[in-house]
Amino acid sequence: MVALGLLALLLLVALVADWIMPHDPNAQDLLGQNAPPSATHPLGTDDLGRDILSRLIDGTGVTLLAPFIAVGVGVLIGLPVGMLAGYFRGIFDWLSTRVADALFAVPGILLAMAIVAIRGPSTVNVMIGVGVLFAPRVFRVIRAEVLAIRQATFVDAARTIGASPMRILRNNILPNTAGTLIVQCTVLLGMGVLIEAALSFFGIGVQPPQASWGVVLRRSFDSLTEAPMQSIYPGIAITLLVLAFMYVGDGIRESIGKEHREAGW
Amino acid sequence: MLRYTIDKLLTAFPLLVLVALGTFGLVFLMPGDAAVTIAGEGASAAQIQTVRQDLGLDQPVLVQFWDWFQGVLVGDFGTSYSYNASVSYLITQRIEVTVSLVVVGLLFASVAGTVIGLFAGLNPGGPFDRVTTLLVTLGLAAPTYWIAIVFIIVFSLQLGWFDATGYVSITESPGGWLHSILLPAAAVSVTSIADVSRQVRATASGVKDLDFVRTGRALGIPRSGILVRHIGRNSGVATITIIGLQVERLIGAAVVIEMLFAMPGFGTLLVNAVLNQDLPVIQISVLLIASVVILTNLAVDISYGLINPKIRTG
Amino acid sequence: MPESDISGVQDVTSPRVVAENLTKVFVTKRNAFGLPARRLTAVRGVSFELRQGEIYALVGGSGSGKSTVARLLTRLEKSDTGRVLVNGTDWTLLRRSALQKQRRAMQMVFQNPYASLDPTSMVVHLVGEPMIIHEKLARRDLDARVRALLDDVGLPSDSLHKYPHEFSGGQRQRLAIARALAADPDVIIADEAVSALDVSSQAKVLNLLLRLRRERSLTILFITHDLGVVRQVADRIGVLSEGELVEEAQADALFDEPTHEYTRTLLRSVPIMGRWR
Repeated sequence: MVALGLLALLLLVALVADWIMPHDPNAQDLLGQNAPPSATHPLGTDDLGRDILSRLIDGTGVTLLAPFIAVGVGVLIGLPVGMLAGYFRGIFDWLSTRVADALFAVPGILLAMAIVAIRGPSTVNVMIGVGVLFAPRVFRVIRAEVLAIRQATFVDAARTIGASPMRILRNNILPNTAGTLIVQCTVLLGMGVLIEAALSFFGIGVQPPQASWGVVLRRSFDSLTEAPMQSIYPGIAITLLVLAFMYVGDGIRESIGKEHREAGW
Repeated sequence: MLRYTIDKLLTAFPLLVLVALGTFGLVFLMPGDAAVTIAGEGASAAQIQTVRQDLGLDQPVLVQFWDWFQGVLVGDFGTSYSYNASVSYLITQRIEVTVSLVVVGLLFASVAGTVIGLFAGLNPGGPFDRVTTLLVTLGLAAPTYWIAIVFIIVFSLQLGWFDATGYVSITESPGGWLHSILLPAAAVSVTSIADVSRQVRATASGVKDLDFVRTGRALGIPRSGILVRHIGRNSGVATITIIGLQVERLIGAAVVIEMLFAMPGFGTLLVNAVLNQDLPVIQISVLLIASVVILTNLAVDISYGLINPKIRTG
Repeated sequence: MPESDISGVQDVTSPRVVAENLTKVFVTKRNAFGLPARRLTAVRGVSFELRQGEIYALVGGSGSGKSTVARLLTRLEKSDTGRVLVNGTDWTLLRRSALQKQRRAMQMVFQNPYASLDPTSMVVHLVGEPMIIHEKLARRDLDARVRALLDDVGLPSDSLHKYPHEFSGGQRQRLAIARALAADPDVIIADEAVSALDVSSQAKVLNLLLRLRRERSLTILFITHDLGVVRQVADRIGVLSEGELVEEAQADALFDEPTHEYTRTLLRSVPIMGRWR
């Protein structure tokens, strides 16, 4: 519940960012560089004299949106392929499983980097790249789940009333994978936050002047010796966000477990 | 056992070919004319033509792939356009840093992860378990490079124990190597330590209550003795799996950490290649790393068969 | 002219369902090359027919292959040999889409009503689905039709928007029957449909099936291991042992003079009812 509250709060912050930022996030103050926290700048300023709190608030939206784009792309690819492979088996299943295995063998950040290298750096390209890397993860859990569900008697029952395979996939199999899918999505959302932060660190993630927490953290690293505390805040913010996704996922997993027990499934 | 091994080899091989095909196929994802993009801005028509011929872009796709793949098999990895040097030279020059990071990181992850997990799992709910559970959760949630920054702030800037940047080759000075590698390797391994200890804790707390462990303790065999022998063997398969999975994670982390500590490794090479759209370097890097991961998984699979004979016949 | 038989079945010349020489072999183990190494013959050359309006009981112990026969008839499983004629159409020759249309004619009620109803579907969709598929029924006409069916099987008609887990086992089996009826079938296969229920629910569901047969002149294939139940309802009985149909007779004849040794063994294991007769 705390985790859900935190996510809701961040969403609110992202929506009303323009009204609650104490300063213009891009306003430079070349006389007040790397200032320590004060009444006017609660978290201090960065190496261009920009207010760090305002930059974090400004970056909340992108930081939240980016992992959702990535997970969206991952689900868009992984869900249908996983469902078709798990239900129909055969050569399509064999092939898509091999492709997923191959994608799995490449560390996520590398794959995202390769895609950025080819398509050029932009926030959208990056998150689509991360989405491609999430697809095999979605594929795997969905395929495994469908393999189990297609054995269920209610699928046989659907076949005997004359339901087509597509109808069975949509009406019977898809709703029954929903729980697993949602849990997997929360895991991936957390990963997405971390990967966005890492890519932004290389300057190939979210592109300036747009700020994400990863971008802010990257910027602060350049002033590490002058103002070490600058690097701490965005890191804490990112960690809290990932934790929130993790706990929400755990919560959903538990409540789904209960439902399944009640349904005798 | 032989048939089991062959079986595993037979699944790994098509995977390698598939990865090769995929990395080769990257060139077709490039927007516009790949040769123009790779040759860079302001390249003359002749230069672009050279690039096109070098890459064989004027040939049929399958011929292109076959030429490229043959080259890869004999170690001819092509030429980097941004460095103007052969890819194999660039990689051999930088591989030592990355291998050092991953190997030392893996050592940290398996030793620290196993020890923490065992002690936490033996006494679930105890003070040690609670503290480590909290730390593990944080370790899994925090960005790797932020942890590294915190390490630098504490151990380099405040305490002055380590240098914040640089790398000393092991051939130059083993002591200097160790000193330069410890901090970044620790940063690389944090997430993996958290992951390994979480898994080991789960298996250890499960195995702990089994009959043979209780019997052993009732017979007066020292606690630590039972621990090492029985729990070690029975949770061995799970532990090897999870440690095997760390290789992929450690390589990913090493790429980031190298940049942060300004170490001349594979990751630094790769990031520059990405920024310069240096395709041959990216292709070979991805292929190389994926091969390492696939071969690690293969080794893990085969070691299952050695540890637990039951799996072989299954 | 064919003569009318004692159970009052009208038309013997064109049976509703003909099962002809059905065989099913399962591969239980494969070798290193993926070729079959061990096989199990679940059903071997089984032939029988279901006449219009009768209740035919297929009886056998566990592992006798009776559920496999049901799956072969409904084409949930493809038979290795033989054919299945339903209303004269050979289902073994049909392509998938044609089969989907034909399936309306023969519905199945499964043994475990906890597993056969999709836990994520509401009653209105569960019961209404066959009508949506086969009649292309508009959503707005659905509610009334489903209510009528629920009423017919004795379920409260205000349960349209409930989920299966809100019902008891007996109620769920009624839901499954309502769903089968929604397809407006000619034949219903009840595969151990009452054996998972407690005794009082068993009787109620059985009576429901008997009433529905009367009202809708349904043909019912009743698959069970329980000869006690069979005696109350069946017109004819086939006995299945190790995948083969070893005996087939009118119900009374089979109880009075069983010819096959396996049938006698089965009869001996029936508590009270069988012996008192």
